Amino acid sequence: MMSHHEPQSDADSVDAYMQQFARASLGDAKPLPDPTVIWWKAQRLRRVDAERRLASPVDIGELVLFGLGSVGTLLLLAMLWRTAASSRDPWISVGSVVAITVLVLASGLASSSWSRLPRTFVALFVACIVPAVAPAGQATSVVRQLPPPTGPFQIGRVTAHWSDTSRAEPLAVDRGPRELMVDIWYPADMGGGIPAGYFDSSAFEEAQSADRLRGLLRSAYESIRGGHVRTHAVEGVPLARSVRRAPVLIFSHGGGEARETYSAQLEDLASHGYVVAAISHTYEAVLTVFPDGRRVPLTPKRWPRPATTAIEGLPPSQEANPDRLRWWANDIRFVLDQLTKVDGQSSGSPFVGRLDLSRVGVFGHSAGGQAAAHACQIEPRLRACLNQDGLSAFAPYYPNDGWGMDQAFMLIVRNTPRELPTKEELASLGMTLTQAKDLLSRLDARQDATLRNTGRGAYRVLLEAAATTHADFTDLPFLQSTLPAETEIRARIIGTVRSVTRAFFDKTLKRLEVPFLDGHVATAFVEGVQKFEPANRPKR
Amino acid sequence: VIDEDAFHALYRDTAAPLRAYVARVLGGVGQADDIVQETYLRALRAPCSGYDPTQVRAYLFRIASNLIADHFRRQKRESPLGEVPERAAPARDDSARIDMARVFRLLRVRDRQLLWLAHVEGANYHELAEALGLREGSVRVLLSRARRKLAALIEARER
Repeated sequence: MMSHHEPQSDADSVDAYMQQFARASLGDAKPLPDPTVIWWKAQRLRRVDAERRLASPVDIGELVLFGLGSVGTLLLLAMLWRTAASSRDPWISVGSVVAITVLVLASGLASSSWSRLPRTFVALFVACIVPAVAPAGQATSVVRQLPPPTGPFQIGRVTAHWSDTSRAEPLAVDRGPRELMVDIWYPADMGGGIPAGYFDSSAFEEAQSADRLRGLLRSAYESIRGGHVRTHAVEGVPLARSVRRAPVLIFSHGGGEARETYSAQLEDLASHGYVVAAISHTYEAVLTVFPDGRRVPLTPKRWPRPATTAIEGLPPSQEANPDRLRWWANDIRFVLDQLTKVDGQSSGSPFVGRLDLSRVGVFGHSAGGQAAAHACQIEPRLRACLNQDGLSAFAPYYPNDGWGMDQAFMLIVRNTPRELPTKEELASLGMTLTQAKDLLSRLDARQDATLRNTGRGAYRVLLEAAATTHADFTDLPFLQSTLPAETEIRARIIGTVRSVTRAFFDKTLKRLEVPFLDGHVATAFVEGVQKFEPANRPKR
Repeated sequence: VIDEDAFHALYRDTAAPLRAYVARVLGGVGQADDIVQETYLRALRAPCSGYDPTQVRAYLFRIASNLIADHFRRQKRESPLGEVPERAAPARDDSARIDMARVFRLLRVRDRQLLWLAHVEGANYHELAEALGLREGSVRVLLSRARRKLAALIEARER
């Protein structure tokens, strides 16, 4: 049996088996990935590659840079090697040594002047690296950092626990006051410190289960749970000295999301000088952890969908519950009150006398975006309002008597193509094609009308729907992507969300010139910027 | 360089067999689509890849094979106890389809790749070596071992 010639019967039975196996269905096969999207993404990546090649210096400069880079790397390696010996968890440090080496080697190899590099030099370099790295083996842990913040400031963070005694929480056991957890991200000065944690996954696992957390984070589970994802912020450091009074932003997460998973956006704004307070809407965040250890999970059915709709032909489930919007908007208003209090105190936080309460903006994602808009409708101290992809029945806010808001407004929305329903869908809706077309155009008109009825003008920024998803305003698509091309695209989408968001607040709160908003600057993943002129509030 | 229409034609011809390969070797459709997408992205992104229609299919399977290997390496690294759930426990199942997939998953990843490429894609020794980064000499031996293992598993199942 152990001869080198396999018995013919083996080959035959295996072949028959494989043929049958190949014909068997794959089970719950979804349709194949859309080739148009793949083609489109590839074009994007090719353009990025081309830009990169153009931007890289070609001549002797590259050689010099490479030399400098390798010397720097060797120094860095030596340093890391020493810390690795003393560190608590040497594998992490070893992992970073390997990672840096691979990075430098890869960038060296990829550079276009590869053929011009003296081979001996490269050989020497490799000879230095290999023995240093060899003992490390393969024990690298996967460390995925959030995209680096783009602003000039370092970042600080504090977490506040505030109780609103003016509102009873009906879901609390004792019907006590409404309690909120709020992260405040802010500009800080250069200085060391351990980066603040990203997500309290152990609390989540204790309150819910590892399976739930795995379901939520999917492929980002291991790295987040292992504590490998860190923020760029340091807890409790002083506010940057060069900032006299900082403009303030309040952020509201999407329904069933978590304030933590918007860190990439929030810390970027802080790095540009904004103080950003991010709320967890208790019972409607995936989990809210209080300092005394209480853990409040999501209560999904808190607000029933409205029973009627103002729009003919639309199922009421498409509309927001106004009670819920009001409740969230009151959370936002309460946080503004607390920030005002903190600013007026004599000590006890980095913000004493440092908040510019004449420049306060609010923004939110999804349900939070609508809540932000509603907060502006009820709170004139808020000066600017940004809604990130939060629509109900196509409207970015709750149309109060037809008037939007007095403040400046922006809607960032994915430009999803209007697909007409199929025959089956029409049947299930009980509609004719003409009726469906009519409904869609009425919904489009409804969105346009909301944008035309604001007191300081409005912007609508259209994101390319093919490449983006509703979740791209959170960190998760980026942290979950496991393949390099996908990771690169997700990082660039976060970059776009960051720059569009900041453009709006830079213009409306900092009064800066922002060329992007004048519509003449092309930005990746943005299909267009539409501007709506200010309107006059109708007299009652 | 390939244009959009040619790409669509290529995709029509190759995407389904490529997905079948990836899904069967991975043991599920879930992650397969990510790898399928990444495969085409890489192929399209490669700077001035000499586009030879007779070679492109082999080229795609080679990229996918590399991505599969990366996938299992990553899984091994991220799995906290170092155990890789790539080998399912043998279990009886009424459905022949699931049973075939279970049997196949008892094999090592490399063996699954060899068997699929050789028997379903009809790759010769040279093409197998190219796709899996092996020497042509070893392919012969490895493939025959893989066949022997599968034959033994089939026999065990039938008994």
